[in-house]
Amino acid sequence: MTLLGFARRYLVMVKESMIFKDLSRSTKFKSGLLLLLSVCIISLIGSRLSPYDVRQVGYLPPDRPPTLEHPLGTDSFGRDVFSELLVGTLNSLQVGFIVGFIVTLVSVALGFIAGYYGGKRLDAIISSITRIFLVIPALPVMILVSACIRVITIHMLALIISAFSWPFATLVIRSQVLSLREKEFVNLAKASGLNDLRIIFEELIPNMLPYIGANFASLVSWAILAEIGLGILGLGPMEVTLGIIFYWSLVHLALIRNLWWWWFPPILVFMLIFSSLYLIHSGLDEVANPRLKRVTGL
Amino acid sequence: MSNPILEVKDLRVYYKSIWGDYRVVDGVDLTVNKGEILGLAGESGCGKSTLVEGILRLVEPPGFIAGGKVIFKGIDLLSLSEEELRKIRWRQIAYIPQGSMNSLNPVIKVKDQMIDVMIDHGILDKEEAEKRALELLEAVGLPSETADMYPHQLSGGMRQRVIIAMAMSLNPELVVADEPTTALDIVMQKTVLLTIAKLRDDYGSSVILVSHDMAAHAEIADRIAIMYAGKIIEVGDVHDIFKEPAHPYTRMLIDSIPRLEKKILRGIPGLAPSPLRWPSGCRFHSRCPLAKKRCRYEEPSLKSLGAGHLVACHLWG
Amino acid sequence: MGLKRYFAEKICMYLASMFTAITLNFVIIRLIPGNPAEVLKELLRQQAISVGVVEFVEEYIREFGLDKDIATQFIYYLVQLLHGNLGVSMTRFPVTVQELIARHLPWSIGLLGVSCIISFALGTLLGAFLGWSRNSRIAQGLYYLALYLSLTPYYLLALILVYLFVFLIPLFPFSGGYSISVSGGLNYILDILWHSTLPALSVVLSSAGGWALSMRAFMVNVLGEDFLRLAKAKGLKPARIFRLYALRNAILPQTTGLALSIGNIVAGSLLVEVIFAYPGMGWLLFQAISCLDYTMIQGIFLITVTAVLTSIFIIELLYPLIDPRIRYS
Repeated sequence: MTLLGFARRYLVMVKESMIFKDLSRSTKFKSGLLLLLSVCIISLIGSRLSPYDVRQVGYLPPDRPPTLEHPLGTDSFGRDVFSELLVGTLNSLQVGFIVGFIVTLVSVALGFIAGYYGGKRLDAIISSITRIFLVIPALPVMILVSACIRVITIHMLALIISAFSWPFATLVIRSQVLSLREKEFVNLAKASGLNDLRIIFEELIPNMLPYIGANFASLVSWAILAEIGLGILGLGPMEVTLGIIFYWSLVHLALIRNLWWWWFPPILVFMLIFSSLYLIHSGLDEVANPRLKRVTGL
Repeated sequence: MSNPILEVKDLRVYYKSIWGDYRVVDGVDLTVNKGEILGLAGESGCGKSTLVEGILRLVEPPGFIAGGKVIFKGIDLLSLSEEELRKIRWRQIAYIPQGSMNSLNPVIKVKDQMIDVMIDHGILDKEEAEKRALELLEAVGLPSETADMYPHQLSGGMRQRVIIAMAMSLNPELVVADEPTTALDIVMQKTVLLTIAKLRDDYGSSVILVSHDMAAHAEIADRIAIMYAGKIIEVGDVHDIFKEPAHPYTRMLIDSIPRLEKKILRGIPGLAPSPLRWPSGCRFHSRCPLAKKRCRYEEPSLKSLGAGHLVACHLWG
Repeated sequence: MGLKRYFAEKICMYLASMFTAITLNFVIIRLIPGNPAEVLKELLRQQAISVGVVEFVEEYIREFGLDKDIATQFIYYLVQLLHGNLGVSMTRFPVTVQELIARHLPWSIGLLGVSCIISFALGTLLGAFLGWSRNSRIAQGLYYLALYLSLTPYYLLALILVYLFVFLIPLFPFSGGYSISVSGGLNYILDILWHSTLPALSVVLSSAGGWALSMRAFMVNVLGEDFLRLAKAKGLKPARIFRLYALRNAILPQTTGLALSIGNIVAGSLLVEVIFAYPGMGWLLFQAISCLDYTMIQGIFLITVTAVLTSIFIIELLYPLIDPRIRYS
């Protein structure tokens, strides 16, 4: 079987599974996805169309309140805050998605090796290392790394955040694998002579997709949160991000000088992204555990 | 002869779902007489446990009681307020739940879980209750050290007997035991059943014994009610029913009891129907070897065959 | 027997995590290009400190074995740590890192300790209520409030609080931990409380929301358990069912959650301190970062991580007290 053929068959299989049908019924998931996509598209298109270069400083009058021409005014460097926000949102989302992809891949791989493929001894090794790293608070480590490297790009930042975000995700996936492998259909697949890799890709992963997706959503929001945290401490990347906007507005005392158009809109954007990811997460969660919705009644 | 302590009248317990209501208990009439052990039998999924939950008013959403009456000593339990019901619970109606493995609070000592019910019903003070708890444990054959243990330190059978001891603590007039012997080994099953029978003999309590295991009913029940697809299809004296089962389904249930002399076990062919859409007519018709045309369209009601033997089947007129 | 094994396991995990953190601290700092001693000399030169620099750097190299190979350096580093020596601040030479930390740490412990306890207690109780009466209208409204509070990170909530209660309604001071003009006695304490209110409030509001959500979920789970149904059938008083059956069991996973999220709470609070210029570890860290005081950053990292790991360790040691299944198994 060619790789492409396998991929196509795989997609069809996933599409036909119950999960896909349940998801298309979940209002939470759909509205979250819609919200997130609109933020992505607006920031992507907006930042390309914007006539103001956010890297250039001082060619607009500073600290101006919103006008028609500058819907969110200008900051203390004389930059258009609206353009700054569009670029910042796009960059922060980029950090979030890169971290989401990297850590999802790593945690799924580690989770399956520990929980299914690797056997008892490998599981013991992987899960104790994971547990050791799990309790070490990630943000201080990232602070240390970013402070030492100093000049970083958003891609390096994403790598740094990824490097210290895998333990929790890995444990979540591993425990899911452990509970799934005891299920009836896995035994059935084994009895019918499927090899381990096929069981993983054809039986386990399709059933775990909602968990993996929910995990991905929370990783993205965690990464954006971490990016803002590092940004506020002055450890952000060279490019404009949401964290960097907060940093500059704090350093320039925007709060006390009542430059609300500088610090408040990024909070709104952040809450929008965060809420959409939360909706996606809980929509997926309900598909994964139908009992959840029934019990909580919300 | 009949001196009913509990009368269930047209009880309906439904479960809400997006596909419509699951009519799990769909119009059950049942009478329990004073001092008798009434066996309630049927395949799993026929609504036995839900019927018990309905009688005890323990149905949780999305389940709800859709109609009927549960008359205990002249009072309709379904019309009481929570607080009025609370005072009747355990003091007059005790419950031995299915899956007692998890029915004890894991973080409280056995003793304290036995005492709290006596205190909350205002019957005994703490010291007396503690003494009584030890007596009760002895009565069900558990060592006194059990009192100071936590549930996870006990075996399944021990936990089950703790709950039976608990059920005896307030001398209830009615005990409802839901599958008390599942998940226990054969020896322990017998012990638990005999302990329940002792409840009736020593305290004069009435017992509803729910079990899918016909052998258990043969062992201790006085009367037996057979449930199928949310309804009672046959009720009668345990000897009458085992000797001359009137309903084809009852006959199949009895035939499916494993016996030493039998070489082949006979199961009941076909699948149990779904409570979302019960079959029309007699709910058993699709699996019934004796089904006639009438069975498909007309639902039979309970008819008396004499001596308290009731059956819902068109074969009997 | 089970208890002994539990403790042994937890002690091993604690030591392993501590060792990993120390190793990270040692390794990461070597990501800075160049020889640490050269970096130090360069930094001091930039700040035009000349008196005693040569002696100081020599002393530093000797103490931390910087002229030896990397493995030996690590051993020197561990020995210095065991003596409580975190090195000298690169920018506030000759003040040592441990002196500076000792000065700022009490502020953080005070602010964080109090707000953590308050938020955990408040959130857990609120969550217990939300789960217990999950079908009531009020509980559902409060659920969404808690959800939004918990989705807002501390430091963004802090920004909003500053705007509301410093700028719009000037009730509280903008920044700092105390007023310079006030000293001694009750006034001083009141002044500190006044300065700490907003930072504490941002931590409390946001994390109490999170605690309420998780407690609600655990509560709902417990309410579906068999033993709760039996408790109801036993006709126990609702207050007893709530306290000894529902709450008592839901608090177990909640406590595990506390151990797991202490790290995040501490990290988030560091940022709150930056926003309020509150003189704790976060503010010290912010200053150290802005002038690239590496020994300082390293020291703060180590103290923060030690504090987090030790708190988790203590919670885990106390856990058998509330869960009998660990005590006797």
